[in-house]
Amino acid sequence: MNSSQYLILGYVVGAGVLWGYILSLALTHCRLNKHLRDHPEITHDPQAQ
Amino acid sequence: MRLKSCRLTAGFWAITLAMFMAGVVMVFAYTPVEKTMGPVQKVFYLHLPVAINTFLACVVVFVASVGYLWKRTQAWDDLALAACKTAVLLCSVVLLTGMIWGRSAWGAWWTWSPRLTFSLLLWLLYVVYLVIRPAIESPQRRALVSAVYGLVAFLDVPLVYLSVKLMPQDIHPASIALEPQMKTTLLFWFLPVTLLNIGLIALGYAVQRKRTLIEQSRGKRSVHDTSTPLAGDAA
Repeated sequence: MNSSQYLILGYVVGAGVLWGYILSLALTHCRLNKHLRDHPEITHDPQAQ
Repeated sequence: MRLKSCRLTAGFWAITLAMFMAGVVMVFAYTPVEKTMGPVQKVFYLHLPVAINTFLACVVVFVASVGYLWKRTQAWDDLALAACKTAVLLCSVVLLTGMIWGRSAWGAWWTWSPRLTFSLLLWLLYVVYLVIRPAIESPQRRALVSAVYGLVAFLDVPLVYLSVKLMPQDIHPASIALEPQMKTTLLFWFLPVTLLNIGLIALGYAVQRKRTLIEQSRGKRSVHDTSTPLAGDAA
């Protein structure tokens, strides 16, 4: 591999790791929101609050 | 209100993504090639801002750990955990981009130079933070151990920062002479990476708060909500 290919690899790996994690975190957030909507007793449980 | 919050969040991530892409365009189309190292030197524009933001995420872990030890509220522990996950992610990117840069510039993926070793140690310390948490059953004890560990782990941050200055024989460059266009690109890259860091900690915190709420609703109540101390807490 030459220097330019290492440069491209660096940005592909860096951006892939960062934005891949953000995407997975956003999906987890949506899944948790859905779970809380499906179980409204959780947010209205005074002990859990 | 909820719709407005969703739009703000979507707007924040759209701006961050647009700035990130603008930074990539600047790297490939605007910034000149450094003469000694060649094109691979441009990895530096991502590598350095991510490294500085790793330190910032570690500072948030430290502050949140102090906050938990002071106030003993679950929210501080949730913030420390979100920041720790972000620190591990950013440190992973620092190590990976550094290895790719090193392979091209030095001919080796890894060398045991002081800065690289302390950076790997930093990554390991915060990975251990994440690994030990599930092993502790009681949420209060888990938060307490994590907070103390978060303070101790932070001691490596100044070592990483000062390693090049204290050990001048380090192969890792302490500074690189930059042309004006290179400085502009480097300064610009701090914007999307810092926004990304803030967004990751905020989103991670929101996710963790919801997980805590669900966990508490399943019967694992916080010690601050109960009148009966847990076994071992008296000591």
